[in-house]
Amino acid sequence: MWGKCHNLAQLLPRKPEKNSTMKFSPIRDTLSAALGVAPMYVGLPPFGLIGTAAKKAFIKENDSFVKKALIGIAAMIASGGAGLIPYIVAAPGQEVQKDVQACRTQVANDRYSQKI
Amino acid sequence: MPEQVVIDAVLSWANAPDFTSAHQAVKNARDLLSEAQFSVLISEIAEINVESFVQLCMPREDDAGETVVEFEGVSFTEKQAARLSAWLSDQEGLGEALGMNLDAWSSLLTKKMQKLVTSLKENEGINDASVDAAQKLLGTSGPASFEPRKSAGQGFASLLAAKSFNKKKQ
Repeated sequence: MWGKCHNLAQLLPRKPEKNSTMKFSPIRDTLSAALGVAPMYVGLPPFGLIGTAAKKAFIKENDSFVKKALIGIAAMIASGGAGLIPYIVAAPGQEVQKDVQACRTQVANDRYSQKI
Repeated sequence: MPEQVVIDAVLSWANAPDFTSAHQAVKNARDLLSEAQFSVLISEIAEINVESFVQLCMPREDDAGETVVEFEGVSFTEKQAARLSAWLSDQEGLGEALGMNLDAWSSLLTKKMQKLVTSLKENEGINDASVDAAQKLLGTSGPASFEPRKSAGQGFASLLAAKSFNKKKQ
């Protein structure tokens, strides 16, 4: 994915909407739905859709890790494991955001600890 | 040195766990601070923000081996590009929370970047490639234009312009 991008703007993560569930992302959500129905190819019901539906219905972008984990575990139990797949697909963008926040925290704390 | 109430407001923004909470912290500060105090807050946030940008430009040990992508004539690893993208994606919401339009926020960040680069190079003797990269991206432009970019090297305003242009195309 990254190798084909020549413009940083193309790499921009979408801005989260306030008080909404996670915003539509064509690549992530198509992949997530495809993985949701993947068990059908081996003759099983589309258990993964339980995870896709739970993520869309109950998870907000800025929800706590614990809430996301609990809903992910509930979906996993309900689907016999396949429901966890969409959570694995959705993970990376938020780590980068935390990285930016951590950098900002450090710069701010250093700035005022030096001056005080 | 800003007043303690301003420092507290800056720290509540900087220590927020995510962008949405950080924007909310800024909005709360608008209600608490006087106009003069809020102007200082804007300046402090802009300075911390551009310093973060320079740090995010710097390569890290775990970036090694990543595929290099090129933007505006500057080469970055994928992880660096992802960090800068995340930083950039925050700016529109942050400017809005501060009560500034994108042009004004972009212009202020550019001025702060020029000041920071001068300070790093002349006062602290830091002349790192990452500083040059940050300057090239963020410190060399005038107010943002919403026209699509036609040439390289127009800096931060062009990043925001490219972002807006992409949005219009969607």
